[in-house]
Amino acid sequence: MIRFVFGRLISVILTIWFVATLSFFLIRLAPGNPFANELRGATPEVTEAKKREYHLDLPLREQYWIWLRGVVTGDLGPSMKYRGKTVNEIIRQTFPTSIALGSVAMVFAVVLGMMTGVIAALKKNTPIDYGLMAVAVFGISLPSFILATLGIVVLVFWARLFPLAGWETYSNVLLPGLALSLPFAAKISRLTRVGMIEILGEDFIRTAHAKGLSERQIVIKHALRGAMLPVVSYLGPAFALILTGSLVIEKIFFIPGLGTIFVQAATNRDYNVVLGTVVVFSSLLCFFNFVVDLSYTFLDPRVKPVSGR
Amino acid sequence: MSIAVTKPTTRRRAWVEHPLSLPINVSMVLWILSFIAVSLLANAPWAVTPVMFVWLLANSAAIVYVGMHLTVPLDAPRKSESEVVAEGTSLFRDAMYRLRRNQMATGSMVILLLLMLACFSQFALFHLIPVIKGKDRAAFASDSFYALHLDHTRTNEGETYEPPTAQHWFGTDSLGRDLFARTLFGGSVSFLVGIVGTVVSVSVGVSWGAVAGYFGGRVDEWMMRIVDILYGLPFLFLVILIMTLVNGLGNVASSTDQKFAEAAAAEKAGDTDKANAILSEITPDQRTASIVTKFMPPIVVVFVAIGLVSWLTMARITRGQVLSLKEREFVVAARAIGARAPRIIFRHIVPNLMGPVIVYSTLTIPEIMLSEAFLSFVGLGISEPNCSWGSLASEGLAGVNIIKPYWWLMVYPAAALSLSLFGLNFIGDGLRDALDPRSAK
Amino acid sequence: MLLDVKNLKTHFPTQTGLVRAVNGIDLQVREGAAVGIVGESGSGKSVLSMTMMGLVPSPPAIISADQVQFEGKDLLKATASEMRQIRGNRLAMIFQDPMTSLNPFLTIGDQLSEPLLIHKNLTSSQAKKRVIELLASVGIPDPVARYRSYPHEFSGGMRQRAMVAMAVACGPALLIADEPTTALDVTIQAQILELMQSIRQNEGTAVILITHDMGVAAGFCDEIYVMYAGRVVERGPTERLFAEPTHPYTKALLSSVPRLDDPPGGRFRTIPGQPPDLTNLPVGCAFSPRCPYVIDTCRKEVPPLTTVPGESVAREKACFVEIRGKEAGQ
Repeated sequence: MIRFVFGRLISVILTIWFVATLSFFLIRLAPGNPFANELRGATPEVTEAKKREYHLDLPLREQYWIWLRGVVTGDLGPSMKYRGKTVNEIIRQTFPTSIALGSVAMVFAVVLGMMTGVIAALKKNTPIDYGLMAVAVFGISLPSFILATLGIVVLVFWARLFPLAGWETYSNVLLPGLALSLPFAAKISRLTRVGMIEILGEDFIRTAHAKGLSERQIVIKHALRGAMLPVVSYLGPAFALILTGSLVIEKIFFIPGLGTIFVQAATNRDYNVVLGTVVVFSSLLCFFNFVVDLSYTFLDPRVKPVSGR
Repeated sequence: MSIAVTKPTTRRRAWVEHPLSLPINVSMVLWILSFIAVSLLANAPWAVTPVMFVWLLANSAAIVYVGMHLTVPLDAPRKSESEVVAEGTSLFRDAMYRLRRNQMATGSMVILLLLMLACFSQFALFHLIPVIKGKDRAAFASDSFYALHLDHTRTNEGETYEPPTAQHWFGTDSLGRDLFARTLFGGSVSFLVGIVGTVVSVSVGVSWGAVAGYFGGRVDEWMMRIVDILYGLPFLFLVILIMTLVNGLGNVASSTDQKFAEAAAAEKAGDTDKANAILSEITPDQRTASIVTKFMPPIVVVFVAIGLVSWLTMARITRGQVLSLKEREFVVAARAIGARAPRIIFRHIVPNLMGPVIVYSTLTIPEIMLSEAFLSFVGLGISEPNCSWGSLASEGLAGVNIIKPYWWLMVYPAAALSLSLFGLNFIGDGLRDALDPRSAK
Repeated sequence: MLLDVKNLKTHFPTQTGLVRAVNGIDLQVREGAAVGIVGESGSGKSVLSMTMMGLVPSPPAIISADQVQFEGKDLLKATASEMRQIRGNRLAMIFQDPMTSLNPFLTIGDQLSEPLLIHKNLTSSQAKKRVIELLASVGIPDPVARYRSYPHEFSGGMRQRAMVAMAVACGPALLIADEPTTALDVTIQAQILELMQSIRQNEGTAVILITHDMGVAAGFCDEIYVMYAGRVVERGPTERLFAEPTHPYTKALLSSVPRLDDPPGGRFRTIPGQPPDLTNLPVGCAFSPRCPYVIDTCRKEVPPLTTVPGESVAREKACFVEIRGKEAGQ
């Protein structure tokens, strides 16, 4: 167990380092610099001074070391676009928003998906099953931005059920969260249905029937756990996709989250902000995957926690 | 002792046994290839005639293909036991019958092929007609069919934000460009990204998974460890960074190209000094950017970038299949009777691999189209004046407001995108159910 | 009579036609008896046992019978919840494959205590104590530690022992064992059969043993039913039935069992032809296409199950032809 945790920790650190380094060189290779607009027409001396302020005059390798040293000590550096703000401050302000959106979407996806999946499996090959699965195909196919726009038009413009946009109250999180979660709910629903049907066809379910257990007891105690396994292993990739999906949702609903900041910073070449966000997102993702793997070994007694797998 | 004698039944020839099925499948591939060719050779006059020929041939093939699929009898011929023993059952033929019985999949196939036909036709005609007629794009009269319905780049200041009319079937956008032409063009881009991206991702994924699965042991462990790690990466963030880099290079390159053109113009006018002055302003970096983008246009980078990040699942599926196939009785039996490795691989493993690979490829196309739409929506995919369904929907979203809803800007591209994604998903699901009937039950 | 089944039919409608898996079966089991049901695979043995347990979902299956009387109650008329109270409590079942019949996600103890918790209203600590006793009684070493093991940590034989323990946990009146030893080694087979024998003797539990292995049936049962194509073709006390079969199918089945004293290199004796297609049964006797004694009547009428004449014990057969003392083809 300890070896497992330790092995995972090393691979997590390596992964984050790899992503951060790759991002560092990618964004640095991109033409342009953070001050292109600000210093248009400024004298070379001013530009040089500005560059020196952010160590941009040093060779790339040294800049990389300076930045990496900062990351290790938890300092992601100053923003190059937002005057006098550090990246840590920016992340501290926007991160809770993104986390709220992401977790709402995640919870919606899991609850909605597993519920409909179990129902469809139990009502296999009935109109209920066909209906739910048709909706699921729509959910998987429809891009979230189209869903979100539909949601806005129907629920906000026509029914006026939700506030338009922004991020003042937490009721604002519901509609974006739902729009973000639907494709994943659909996917989880299909995974649950298939897993459930497979498990319900197993011999040990017949044994459980022979013991005199009720349908409900069988589903909850004997089938659900096995049926959850494919869902659990999908949660890792789903979380990554939800994080990236939030970029679009944040744009549509004007939510000041980390995703919006990231896209803006990438276009503005606000190097430190871009890299800071990447580091934060990768760490979050690695941590989440670690938790998922850990829970997998608890869910399935046949899987022994060996390092890495 | 008596055995029940079955009457010989006359059976309709199954369509996959049709003598033309191979040429038609080949021309389907040519159909796709011809569009890639058109996009690359669009401005070369010598290529027009052959490309046009292939294109016409392939279009007719596509229509025949749909037609033949629709003529597959809905009821598979009842096979008596003796018949089964006599000829064996072709798994593929059975699968096709099941696919044909799946109305959603068949309907999707027809709609999707028609949609692709329309999109690719606009794509081809947009490039080909000016070459054939020997006219510049701008030289077409503003009420000609070409200008109205095929040219997605023609702006018209007098006709901005026109709702759908008899002239502009899908309305016009903020620059007065015809949305019908733009939707079709966006479709070609989206489909091409989907198809080429899938080819990239399937090639990488299948080779990676097959190697890992076939060699097993240490090799397998390390290769799959890498896949596991890559799974944990926020890939789209990297793609966004790549796109930032590529778009930045593209901007530099286009301004550099402009300078080159100015210098050439000055040279032509006899003003060598001015030309040299302009040329000397161009930095080596700008030159590099200009050359790099010549070889790697941003759209290609979109294909490759998305394809390169979506091969992981394919690799896992292939590895799992190969691992289990390797140990299956029929492979062990083949090995036991002394079959050589190539025979085992091509006769026993590859055919059994085809099913999952085909199914998963079909499901990868919509996924990649979705990623492209997503990138374009964020503003990092395809750049103006080109467009894809994602970038059109992004423009459309800007038009959705309470005061003056320019609904058509959103509705048509979004509907086309959703329709294709539904279609591809239904076909993928249908194929999976057809190839692996157990999975549906 | 503990179990009295009359004219039980289980049919499955499919796309290719009605599959008559069980096609009119009569079955009687006395308290404490050991009854064997033998037949080729596909003869409907398993469907019969599943139908009696109420484990065949209907619809789609079409189940009908004149009666399925168990402990004075008609199982076919019982409601779902009544049936649940009988299953696992008075009527228990052991399945063929112990590898897949136990839930891999739950501990052995968890699964074994379930019937006690739902049928006997024990508290969980009482149930645990009882389960440990049960595990010990079926011969699982170190039952206290094994209580917390998962099925994958057990060997095949141990799993089947656990299955037996689970089935007899509530002290059932009738235990249906569906090929309980088929997936096991020969030595383990003997141990499991011995275990079931001792349970039968100690607890007075009646056992229906379903098997295709004539040796197993001969060693365990007092009475044998021979099934073919969803019907009983012959029944009788074990010794008489094996000594002198009165149905051609029983005879063929017995002679196809390889014997240790067969000369090496000789051909195996098989029954010519294929088991019938259950959707498309031949008119008349289902065995008639493969039968060496066939006469014209066999191809026209279904032979009813009638008492075998000239026997001191109760024997029945479903055949028009007297085959005792006859050679095939005469």
